[in-house]
Order: sequence, then C-alpha cells, then structure tokens
Amino acid sequence: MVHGLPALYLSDRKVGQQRLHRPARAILAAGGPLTLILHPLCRLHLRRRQALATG
Amino acid sequence: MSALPTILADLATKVAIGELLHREVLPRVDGELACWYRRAHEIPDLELRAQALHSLRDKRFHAEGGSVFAALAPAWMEVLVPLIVALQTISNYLDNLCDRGETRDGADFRRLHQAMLDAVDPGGGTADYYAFHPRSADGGYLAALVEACQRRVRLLPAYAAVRGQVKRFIALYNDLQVYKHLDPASREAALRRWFSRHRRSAPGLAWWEFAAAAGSTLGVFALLAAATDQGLGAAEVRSLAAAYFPWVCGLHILLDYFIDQAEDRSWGDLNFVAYYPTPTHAARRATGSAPSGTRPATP
Repeated sequence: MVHGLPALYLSDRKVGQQRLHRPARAILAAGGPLTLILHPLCRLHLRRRQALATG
Repeated sequence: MSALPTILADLATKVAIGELLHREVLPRVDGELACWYRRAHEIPDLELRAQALHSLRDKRFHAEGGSVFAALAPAWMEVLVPLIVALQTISNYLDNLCDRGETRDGADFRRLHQAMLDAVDPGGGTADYYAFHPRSADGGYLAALVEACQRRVRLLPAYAAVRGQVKRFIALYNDLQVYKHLDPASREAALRRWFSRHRRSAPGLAWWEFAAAAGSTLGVFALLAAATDQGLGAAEVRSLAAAYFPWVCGLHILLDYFIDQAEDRSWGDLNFVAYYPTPTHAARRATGSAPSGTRPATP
C-alpha cells in the first residue's frame, strides 16, 4: 500500500499540469525501488482507463 | 543488492494483483457504476441528480481504487465489489452535496452522513437523510445505496469482528465531513477543537494530518476485505486498523490533496497540503524526512 499509493496518485496528469514534478519525484524516490518501478505501470494503467472512459 | 529478490517478489505479487484487477475487478466496477448511473438519471430533483451524476463521473477513480481490496479476496469479489462501490458512491455523492450545496449547516451535513453509518450497520434501516437539506426528492437513490451496502455486509462471515473498528473509522470520517464543510470562517477552529479531543490517538501528527487520515475510506475497505476470513481474530483486526490509521490513511488523502491543489484553490475548498509551507515541505513530510509540528503556512 505504501509503495502503490504514491506510484498511483503521482501518475495523474494533474502533477505535470501543476508543475509538481520535483516534489513528486522526491516522494517517489523515498518510496524506494518498488515505487519507482510501479510508477510507469500505474501511468500506463491510468492512460488505459482514461482511453476506455472516453471511448 | 540483497533486497533485490524481495523487491522482485513484491513486484510479481503486485503485477498479479494488477492483472486480476484488469481482468476481473474493474469490469465489475464498471458494471456497478453503470447501474448507479442509470439510477441517478432517475433522480427527480435536478440539482441532486446533477450532483449524483457528477460524483459518479468525476470520482469513479475512488471506487476503482477502493475495489483493489476485492482483488485480495477473489472468492468474495461478487460481494466486495458491489459493497465497496456502493459505499464509496455514498461518500462521493455526499461530498459533492456538502462541497457544492446551498448550505453550510453542520446539522444538515451530520444527518446526510448518517447514511454512511447506516450503510455499515447490517441490522439497520434507513432514515430521512435530507431532513435538514433544502432538497430531498432523490427518488430513493441514497437509501438504495445504503441498502445495497447493508445487504452485502450481512454476507461477510467475520463482519462482527470488524464492525466496531469500521464504525469508528466511519464516525471519524463523518466528523471530518461535517467540520471541513462549515463556513470558511469557522471550519479550521472546529477541526482544531475536534483534533484536540483525539490528539492522544494520533501522536506525532499535526491537526491537518489527522484530519486527512480521517478522510480516507481505505481503512474501512481493508477491514471489509478482512471480514471475508471466517477465522479473523480480534488481534488481527487491531493490528490491521492500527496499520491503516492514521499513517496509510493519512498518506492516501495527502496524496489526493497534493494533486488537487489547483482545483481546490479555484473552488475555495479546504486543502490540507496548503498547511505546509511549500509542496517540497509536504513531500518531505510525506516521506518521513520532516518532523511533525513543522510551522504551517498561512492558509
């Protein structure tokens, strides 16, 4: 849970839109290797879900 | 490098859960949300209907996220997915009513959120949740959500073991929803007074961090998933509840607030991340590299 939550939430487009990359990277790094590996997987998941939702 | 096998094992578990999520859980979540969407379309009052539909469309992420717990007990998916989706849908709908509604009345918010407590009471009924609300013609939508939860909770073999903790988490959630939606001039003082009554149960947390933890439904969902295990004992329930509240729940909601800062600013909504001096400071606190009680920013 502590690895997956930052990976999932910080995959959201809102992070880039608000230019929060720097603090987001700090949180992801503190989560350790598993969080860093899960982050791109979560981004992929969110993009797939958004693509499905918009048809 | 000695940690590598552990990381790979953790990753394999999470990928397997992710696969199950995509293949089994999320299609069920989509089905449940579609049913509630159709039901929401029949709400007679236009404003209540709009808020119900907005909450289903804009907050579906929370129902999907909560349903991850159904992947932990695959044999119980048919009970857990409808239960988690319905409970999260109540939470999302009521949050919209309080955020975007026409009043700032604490009695109204308290009565609306009685629905959350009734939903996790297997022997309970429903009440007039709109008694203090300016609108009430929801065509039975909120009561139907409550009854959908009650029907599923009754099926959980170890619900009696988790019931007390579930009600405790929901009561804290309701308190937060009441106080944080009060008039901006009084909401922070109300939250601080509330925290002072609970300070001993959350050592090391600032008041807004405790409030954030109370706003998470993850602890409830973890307990509901655990209640599928007939052999669940009191010690396991205590350790599960302590693992989630306040730390995991707090992390969950602070991450949610972290990505919603611009949106909350535009609506004038309370955002607990704003109490940290900078986003970097919030990140350091979330990662455990900043001490508690750090000087908050002017809200």
